[in-house]
Amino acid sequence: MTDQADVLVIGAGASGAAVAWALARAGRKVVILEQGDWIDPSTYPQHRADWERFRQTTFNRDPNVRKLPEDYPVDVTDSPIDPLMFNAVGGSTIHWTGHIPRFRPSDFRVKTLDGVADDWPLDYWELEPYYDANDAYIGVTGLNGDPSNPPRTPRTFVPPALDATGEAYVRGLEKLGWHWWPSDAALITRPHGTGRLGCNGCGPCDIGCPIGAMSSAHVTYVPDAIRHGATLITRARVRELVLDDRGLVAGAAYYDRDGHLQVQRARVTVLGANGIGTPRLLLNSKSARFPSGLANSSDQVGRNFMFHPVAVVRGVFDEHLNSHQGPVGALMNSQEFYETDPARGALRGYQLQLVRDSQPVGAALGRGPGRRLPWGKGHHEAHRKEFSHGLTIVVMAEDLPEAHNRVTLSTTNTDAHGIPAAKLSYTLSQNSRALLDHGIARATELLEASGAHTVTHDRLTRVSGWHLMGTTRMGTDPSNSVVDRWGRAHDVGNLFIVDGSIFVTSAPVNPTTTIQALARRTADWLVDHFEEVAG
Amino acid sequence: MNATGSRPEQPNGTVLTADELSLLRSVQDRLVPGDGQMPPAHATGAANAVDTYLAERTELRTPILGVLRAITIATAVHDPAHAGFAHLDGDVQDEILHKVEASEPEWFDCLLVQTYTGYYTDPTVQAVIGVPSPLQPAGYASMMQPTFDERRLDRVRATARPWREA
Repeated sequence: MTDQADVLVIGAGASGAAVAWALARAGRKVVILEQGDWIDPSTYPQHRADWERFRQTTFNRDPNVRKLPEDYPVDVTDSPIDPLMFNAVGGSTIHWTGHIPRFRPSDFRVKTLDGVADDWPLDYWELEPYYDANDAYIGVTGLNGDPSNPPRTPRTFVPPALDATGEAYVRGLEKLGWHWWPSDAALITRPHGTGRLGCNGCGPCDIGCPIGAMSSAHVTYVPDAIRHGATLITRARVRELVLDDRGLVAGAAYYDRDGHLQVQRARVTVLGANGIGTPRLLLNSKSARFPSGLANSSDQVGRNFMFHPVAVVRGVFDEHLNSHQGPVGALMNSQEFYETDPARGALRGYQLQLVRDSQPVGAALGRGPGRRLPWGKGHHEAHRKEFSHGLTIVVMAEDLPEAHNRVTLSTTNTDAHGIPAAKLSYTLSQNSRALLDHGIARATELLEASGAHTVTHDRLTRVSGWHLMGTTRMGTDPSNSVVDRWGRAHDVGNLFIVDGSIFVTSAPVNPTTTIQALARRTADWLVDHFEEVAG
Repeated sequence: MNATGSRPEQPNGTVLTADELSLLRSVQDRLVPGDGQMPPAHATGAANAVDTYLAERTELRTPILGVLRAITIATAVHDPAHAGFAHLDGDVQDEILHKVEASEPEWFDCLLVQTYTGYYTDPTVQAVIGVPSPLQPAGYASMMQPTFDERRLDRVRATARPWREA
């Protein structure tokens, strides 16, 4: 048994790190439990010539492929999309493209505007100052002034000039007269903060940034939280949350790095374990008071799971585009098809994330919608035509919440500590399918306008489940939601959730900056109301 | 040849025997032959790389050892004199590989993936292609100068649809 913390935070990823930093800075005694470890910067694959092979193994984004001791399996036999995550200090912001668009005001009023799903119990303007504060703190490269989004504070750094890849995209976008804008990119182009170097465009941000240029949680919030007095315990696999006699959370039982069961007590507990890990932990925390899992009197824990379903469309060009150079996913985006247009045969919308292309091994293997390049005499000619001659568009649709899409506990699989694994049951809705089909046609049109001689697509990309949302959703009615507008569990007054689980809807954009803004907003509320809610 | 994942490693920590490594080199030269400045696979570390992957990833042993066994058998059937795969004409080697690719598509694909991975992560190949080896610390620093010309966005500023107020 350890000393009681004011606040126990479970997970040192995007959300947990942000909330821990804010609470530690306010003087609270914070303990963070993280099931992974620090990644030694010198061990990132980009320091080795054979770096690309680690995409297939220890730096794979799929925990079911990685199978490291700190990972837990996810049963995906009933899902057409594989969930992706990374378990380490920094969490999935290590395996990140750093493309961080914000939600728009309409994304918080989906029911009111379009008659589907639910409205959020807060609006964009309430979150806006937290978006700005988060961006300023972590360091963002981008440009304000996009007329399709509300104004925002000046970005930390100006983007680089359009390179050949960017020029090719813009050629098509200008012909078609579509919206485009440089990404708000969670990366720095000059040294910033403590020990962080400016981005040198090496490319594969998605397997971690070895120089700290990506504004990942392990180089921003986590070290600052520790400087403010937070205690981080790594390789701490939480088994369950434990209750006191009043039905409040007393802390967490976890296995330490030596496999010994420990209990960390706390007056308030905050979960930031992602849209699968958080419901898994709650469902594993059964008790006489909560026989179907903690905070689950509504039977909503694990339900309403949302991905951002993705279709990848790729064009091949005669010209050499150097498209393997530069931050792979944080180049630009088009929000031309963002808002609802009934003519599309679907409600809500999608973004076109205009990204860079494969590295040498990736080009040979034909990842995504491509093909394995032929072996034999024609191989090199095929590689010369593919490598650095491609553009890849990620069509990212807004997914709507559906109760049958859910995370449950596996009855057959466990993690290395014998804790039941998560099982994901997910079907792609007709609405999401229609959005993707519309997006594939438009992305094809764009690539052809840009000059591609060949365009291929993947109707639904299996390895694309980066964004895990909705499984402990926010709401005002305890009968159909799990947490209130502050992320506080309806059933348990000193339990908070700050990861993507609390999303009511998903919007058609990457969620991380919204997750961190919400986490900081919850932290501010907790600072002001701590004694009211603490156990 | 034992084609199971429980195959013991060689005394030096690798998995392939000398004969298997030799066969793999010959096979890889048909998969990725030389072409202009691009070296043939045997002139790179591709075969040794695959041996390393086999030592690290036991799940690769069944498909890779299995496909090598299938190539050995197909060679023996085609060439009763047992000259061995390496001594056959290139066209005959390709014919054998196509047959094995058709009969054991998953194993063959695994061999192809690991061969391409070993080949394109070899520094000599990376030098010909023109990518930094390794990527860090050089990267492509010159492309990251903060010099975006905002005039490029004038048309978007003038024509883009505004967000929906809610």
